[in-house]
Amino acid sequence: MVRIEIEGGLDAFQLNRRCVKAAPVTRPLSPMKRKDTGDFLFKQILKIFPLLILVLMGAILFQLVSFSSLSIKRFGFSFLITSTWDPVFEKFGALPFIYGTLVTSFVALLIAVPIGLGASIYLAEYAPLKIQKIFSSLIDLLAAIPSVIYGLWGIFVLVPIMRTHVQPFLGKHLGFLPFFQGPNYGVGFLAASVILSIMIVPFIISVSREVISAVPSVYKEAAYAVGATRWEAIQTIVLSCGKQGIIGSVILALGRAIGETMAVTMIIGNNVKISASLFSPGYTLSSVIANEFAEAASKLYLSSLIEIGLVLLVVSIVVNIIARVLIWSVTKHQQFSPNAAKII
Amino acid sequence: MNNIQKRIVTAFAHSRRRRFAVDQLIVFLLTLCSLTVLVSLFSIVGHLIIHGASSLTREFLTHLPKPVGEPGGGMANAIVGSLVLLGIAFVVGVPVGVGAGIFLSEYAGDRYASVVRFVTDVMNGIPSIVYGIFVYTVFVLPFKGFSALSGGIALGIMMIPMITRTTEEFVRMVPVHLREAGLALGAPKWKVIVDIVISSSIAGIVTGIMVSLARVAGETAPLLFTAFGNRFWHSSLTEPIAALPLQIFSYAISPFDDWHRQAWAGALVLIGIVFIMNLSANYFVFRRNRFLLGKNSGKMENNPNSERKLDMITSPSIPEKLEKFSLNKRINVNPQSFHDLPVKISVKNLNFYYGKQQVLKDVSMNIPGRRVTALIGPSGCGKSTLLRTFNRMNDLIPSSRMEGEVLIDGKNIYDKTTDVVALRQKVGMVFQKFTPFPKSIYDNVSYGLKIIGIKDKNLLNEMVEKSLRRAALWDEVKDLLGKSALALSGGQQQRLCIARALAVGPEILLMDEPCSALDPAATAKIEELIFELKNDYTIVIVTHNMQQAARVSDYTAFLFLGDLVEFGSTEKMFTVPQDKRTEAYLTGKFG
Amino acid sequence: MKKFILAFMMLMVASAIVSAAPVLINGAGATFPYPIYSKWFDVYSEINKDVHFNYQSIGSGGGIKQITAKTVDFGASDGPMTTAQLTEAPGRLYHIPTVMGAVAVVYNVPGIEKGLKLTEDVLADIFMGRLTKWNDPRIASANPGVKLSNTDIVVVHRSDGSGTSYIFTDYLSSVSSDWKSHVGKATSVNWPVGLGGKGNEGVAGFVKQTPGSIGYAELSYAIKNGLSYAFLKNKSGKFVEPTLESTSKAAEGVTIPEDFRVSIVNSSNPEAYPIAGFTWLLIYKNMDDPVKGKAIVGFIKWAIHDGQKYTSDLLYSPLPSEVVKMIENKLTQVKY
Repeated sequence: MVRIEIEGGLDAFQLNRRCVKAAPVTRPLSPMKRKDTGDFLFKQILKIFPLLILVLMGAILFQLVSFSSLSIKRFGFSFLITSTWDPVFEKFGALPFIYGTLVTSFVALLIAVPIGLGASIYLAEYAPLKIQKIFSSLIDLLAAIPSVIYGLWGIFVLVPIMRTHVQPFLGKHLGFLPFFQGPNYGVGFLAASVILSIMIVPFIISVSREVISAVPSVYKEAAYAVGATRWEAIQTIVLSCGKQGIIGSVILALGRAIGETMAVTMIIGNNVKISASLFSPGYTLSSVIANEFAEAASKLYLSSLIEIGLVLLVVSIVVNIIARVLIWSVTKHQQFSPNAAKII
Repeated sequence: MNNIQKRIVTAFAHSRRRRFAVDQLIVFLLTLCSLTVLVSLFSIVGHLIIHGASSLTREFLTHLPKPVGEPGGGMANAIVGSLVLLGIAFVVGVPVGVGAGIFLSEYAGDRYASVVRFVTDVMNGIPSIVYGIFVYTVFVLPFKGFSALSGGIALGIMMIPMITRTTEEFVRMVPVHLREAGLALGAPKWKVIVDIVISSSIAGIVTGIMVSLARVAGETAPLLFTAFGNRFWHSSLTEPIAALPLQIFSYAISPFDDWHRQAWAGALVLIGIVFIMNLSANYFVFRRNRFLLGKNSGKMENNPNSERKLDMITSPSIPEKLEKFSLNKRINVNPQSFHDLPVKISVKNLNFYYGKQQVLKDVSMNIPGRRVTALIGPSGCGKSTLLRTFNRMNDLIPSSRMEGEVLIDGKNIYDKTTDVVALRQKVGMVFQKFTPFPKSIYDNVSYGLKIIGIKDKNLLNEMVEKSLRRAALWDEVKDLLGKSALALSGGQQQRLCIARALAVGPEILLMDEPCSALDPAATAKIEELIFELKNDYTIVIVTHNMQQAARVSDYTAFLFLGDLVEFGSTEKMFTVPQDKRTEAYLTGKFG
Repeated sequence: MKKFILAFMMLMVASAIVSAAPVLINGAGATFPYPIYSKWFDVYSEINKDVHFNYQSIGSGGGIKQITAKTVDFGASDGPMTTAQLTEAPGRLYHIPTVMGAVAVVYNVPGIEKGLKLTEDVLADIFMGRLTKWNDPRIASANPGVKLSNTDIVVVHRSDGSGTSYIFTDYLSSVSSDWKSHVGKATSVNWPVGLGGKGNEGVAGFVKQTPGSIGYAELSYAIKNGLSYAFLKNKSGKFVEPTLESTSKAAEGVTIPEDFRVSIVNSSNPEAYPIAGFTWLLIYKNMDDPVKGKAIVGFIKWAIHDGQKYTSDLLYSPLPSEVVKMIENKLTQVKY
């Protein structure tokens, strides 16, 4: 053991000695217990809230399942593949609505994805900073508009345009396709799809932008260094790196489109029919609930409607999970952005 | 040029035009896409303004609807109804959302937090009409009536997942050292959360709340079979109530032209409400930043540091060949050699581990009272770790483990009977990164006093002044006590933190590299301060600046690779170091 | 920020304790009589300031459902409840007729005003999707001299459960055995073709917006919106315009049963319009709430007497006097 002798300390101590009164600090005696109780109580009270969320989710599932049980027992699996919806004879099948939801969502994606992706690439890669900022705010605005206002605009602006210009044009030039045949109402699958696409474009844009920005610039720089044009760099690097996240954003938008109610109800035409033509009126899962819920007089009728709600719930949950997994795996190393809060 | 080079050049020349044409075409297409999006936005807003503005008369805003087919009337009850529903939704959604967000960020284990987060994400994606069905089965059917309450509850439930997510994210972003500063003052965890963490993240939390309010303000589907609608003023919350989106919907699908005009006007009002809410969130953030950062503020910088563990475990960057000096020499300081210097802190055979890594190896030392003791050594040698054992700050790190004893005034502070909170009032701490709370200067200094229950204004004023004087800051801030602490300069902020630590009357002051983030002028001021303070306090200071140690300290401990290599009076150690490693470090051979 | 929250809270609290003065009575149901009901409730609230009637026109189906679930205080329907529906209700429900109305067949064919003559088989075939063009020979032959173009017929029907639909399908069932077997009569049927509009308002709205469309709606909606409507061939072979008189004639000579559930479509009266019907308020024999019960009965008493003078302006036919007497009798049996 090595010992270190301290020398000089004594003198220094004596030199520096001063008689100083310690500053009096009065404080009430705080028994250990009080502080512990505070912490304990606080944590226990807070604990309730996330539990509440879990309970809520469970309750929603439970209520929907139990109220659909009548219909499930009666129709079983055939509920999903029967196309009759007859309240008089109490025969209910959800196929027309499933068809309507799928068609409108799919066509909406068909329109929204190229446009949204294009706009997001433009924003992330080409646009000068000022334009980016302005555009972002405008996109947020678009996302904030309530569904019923889209519906209002749809009825009085979009549908007449559809009826007088767009659909006749499509019918004339593409009428050989079964999608563009039949009488021209204005309302119908096409109009609903168009409005849905406008509603989901903001999601695609904002999430794709995050994904594209997340691609490390070193890769792009490497592409430029070999002489790639801008588009080539974007195409080969950004889109392939960000593919997963972009697909995630598309699926997220799909989830939103599936659940959209009001705007669609107002311009889809409310016809329980499966038709190949986009001009024809149709019905979606959410629209039928909105229209008929308040008046489903018989127990079976109500139960069938709630079963449709259950289908909607399950589909949206599954779609959501897939989307989140894809997006999360790409952006998990990124800082959370407040913009996404507005969208998600 | 050889063959290959020629071919490359030719290929480039051939494809050049095509490639650049494609590039131009793409730019054109992409711009077109963006414009298309904008066109639809402008069309919607444009129509809203054109059709709606003209019908936005005073009558519209203040009257009830007229009977079917009669022109005139208004949507006053629907506007008020929407606000009432939002109020109920606020009461339902905000406490649950914010509470859950705080719990997830501050208390929840990783797995539980992930599960809840997953569920909230799922809930965010559930169609709103499903919420309507749910509330109908739970609140409308059993209670046999549509009501404003059920409508508000439906909207509130929709808000919960949104608010939970945003709250959690923003609370997580509050830096660790801010929380530590609060804890080091002796505040219990819950107070640190309420006073410091929440007020630091309040801007983000409020934004999240406002955004979700704006979102549910426009929801129609869940109200269809809960709030139901009402053509009159509602007389109680258990009766149906009118709401803007419902009214717009039924007017839009009607055949009456007058109702159509009113639908546009109602839509304009609705979108106005939505935009005002979004904007007021931004305004709040702006005001908050102004308060916090003074008039010339930009956005408040928040260090995204969601790690709760301290990232202090770094491997020593010392060449390994110096290892051979460490042999089996262990240092022990004999208390008797202090003669009659009182020993304030006594460390006995301290071994400290982060997980599997051992950071302190059998350290024993006695720190004299009313002196300045410096801990020096290369980075990563355990200096800060040792310092933090003195006020049990290392308790915060889950993987930490220690053996040995740390005695203050003869009592082992790691004893089971120790009141940690009281300990932290007795042992104050100043951190490397200055951590003023997002409060006024006065509130910062008085924080430690307020949490132990001192309410007497006169006493508080006196203590604040005393502490600020002690920290040599009083003259500079005595007229600015109400201003935000974040508006001070770096050096002032650090002195503020010292004042804050002093206010609760500690006996020991621990300083962890207090000047490393300051310029020389500010550093000089603080060193002066330390010199004055040591008359009344026992000071232990960690510094990587040897000159500083030489300037301010009475005693110095040299730590190297977790070992206490040498301990002695500063004067002695710096002139005649006993150990070869000490000498090597002091002469700058490494470190 | 604090002030904002405070204001919010105060608004909420204020609305919660806002005067409990007038009793609020909630009803829901048929869109068919909505114009006259809303006028009545408006006028009545001036006469009797203690009571407010809040009526949501969600369709007869909705009215039946909500009164069965007792989520409203009274229902309204122009399709009478079936025996099965009546048994499902937790109490004995009364049908109280209030007015009569005509279901007009409205259309939007540019250039053609009201008065297009449609026979019953043509009507049935249009709504079954078998007759798809406006210039179909069968329409042309009934309307010599009228220029019809080769446009598609766009059918519009109700998407919600509707008493108006009931009356309309009741008529089609009685004139077309095809319709009866394939579609049937009810408040909500499986429509072979067409767009669905929500409520009378929705159908009228669609027809108004869509050239080439045809639908059915209560006369009041047709006239108030300037829609053209057809003259229909009645049982006696005459093409009759839907008017107040032809509507009233539909009830002449029909025996009104004690529970008031009666159909007056396809009346044999030569002056009658073939698609007419009563509309009923649905109330429980035993009212749960004495205050509300008294108010409802009081309102009905006013409606069947003084209220009837508002009907013709809004193009509904007043109740025949014998029916009024029967209602007075019935009301004495209501307990509250």
